[in-house]
Amino acid sequence: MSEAGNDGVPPRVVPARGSAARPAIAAVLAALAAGCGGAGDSTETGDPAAETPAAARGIEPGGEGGGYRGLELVTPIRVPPFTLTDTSGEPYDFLDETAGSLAFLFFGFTHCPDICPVQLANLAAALGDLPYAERRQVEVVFVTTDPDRDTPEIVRDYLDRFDREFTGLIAPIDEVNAVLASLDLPPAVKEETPGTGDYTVGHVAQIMAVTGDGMIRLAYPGGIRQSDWRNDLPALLRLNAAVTGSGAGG
Amino acid sequence: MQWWCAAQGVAWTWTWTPYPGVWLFVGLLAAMYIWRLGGREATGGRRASYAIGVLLLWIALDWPVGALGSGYLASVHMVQFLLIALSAPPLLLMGVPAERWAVLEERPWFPVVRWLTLPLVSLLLFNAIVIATHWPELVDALMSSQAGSFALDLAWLVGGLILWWPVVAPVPHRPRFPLGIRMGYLIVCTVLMTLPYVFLTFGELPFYATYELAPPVGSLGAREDQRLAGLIMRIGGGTILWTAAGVLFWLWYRAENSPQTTVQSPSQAR
Repeated sequence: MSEAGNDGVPPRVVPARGSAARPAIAAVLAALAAGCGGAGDSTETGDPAAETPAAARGIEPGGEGGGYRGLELVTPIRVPPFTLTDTSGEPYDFLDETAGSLAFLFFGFTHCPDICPVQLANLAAALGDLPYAERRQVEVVFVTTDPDRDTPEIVRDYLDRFDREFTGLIAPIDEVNAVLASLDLPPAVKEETPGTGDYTVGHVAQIMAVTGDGMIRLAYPGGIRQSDWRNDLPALLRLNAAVTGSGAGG
Repeated sequence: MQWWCAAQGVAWTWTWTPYPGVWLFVGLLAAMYIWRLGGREATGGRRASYAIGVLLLWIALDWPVGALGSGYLASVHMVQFLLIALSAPPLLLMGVPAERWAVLEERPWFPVVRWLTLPLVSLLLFNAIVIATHWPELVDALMSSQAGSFALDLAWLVGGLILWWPVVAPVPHRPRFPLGIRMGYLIVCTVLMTLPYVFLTFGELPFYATYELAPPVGSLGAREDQRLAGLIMRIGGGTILWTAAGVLFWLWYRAENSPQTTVQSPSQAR
């Protein structure tokens, strides 16, 4: 399964380098319903609700001014308040917990064979390169879209493979889909894998960068590389410092 | 069905996958040996050499090594390189009977081969191929298609044949290329191959989108995989080239200390 769906197309659509690649990135994100578990790919199913939001909200590649390789939202989106349960069983109020920090919000599942582990591994590797003081300003929040299989222990073990600081959130799928809907994103869709008795979960593949004021400002679709993160993280920290007035952010 | 291994962007599975193009390629090499390269009149040793060369190519190109190397792990890609460019070519060349080379030399295209296999030309050409075929943008562009992946594999094989030709092929047209010089030739090659090794092993970031963005296989991260690829190139490639240089040294030493100082290539030695 690829980001482009289960059509066998390799997920190499975003070698996000330089301005030449950016229109392609924007086009990819405009068809944003894509995600792991191509069977649930809403672009495949033609679900208009899945296709509209990204296009409607006007996402474009990181502006020439920002120099981002991620996709900068023309109009940042405010994250509505939501509280899910973390891997230790405690309630996790996203806006409270990440206030003032640069947060990366990602919806995925631990059985995902392709996009999720690559996205998390590349982000973790890039964060690992940051100086400790800067790394402390970043929160990574992973929300499972497969609560039937992803127990708190499984999610914790999974995230620990990437970074022990990553936060995992678990909630009934209806609650998770409500959060996705509040962000104008398509719901996670469970799809049976024919002949195996197994299933996969279609979900959005991008990591959303949320500044400490609770605004989603950039999105990082599948295909973002460590070099892209290395380019963007310092700028994101500066942006976060600017919007929160913390004066930090290197 | 795929005919040649290439990056697919789909999750890896240990389910066997057929690659008919690889079988056809390997079959053609075997057929060429029997009907064109004197396989039927070759000694047992030469036949074994050629057969092992073909077998190594088959291992490198077919599932699972070929599939893993073309789309999932840079380290396995490097194993492919060692097999296709450094291991199989000398065995294939040594498998051809000496008398067959005389026939081949009469072919109209042979002057081109002769020029390409001049030691300095072959050394530079091989290393140019090594550098080009490890250039990230080129690798990423080629590995995503079967034709591109085939072209890269073929470039390695041709480059390997060019590299090893002056060392192991009988060179009646070049009698003044003694064993000592051949030894030096291989040692210089190990030095030149340091460049991609350093590039891979000490690079801070993954260079190849193909492997960085590939669905993971096992727990190896993209950076560790790339470093492992560099080490495989250094240790594996160095071992092959230095072992060959050692054999040449032994042949040279034996020739120097024998009553009749006839210098032979390994393939002429029976």
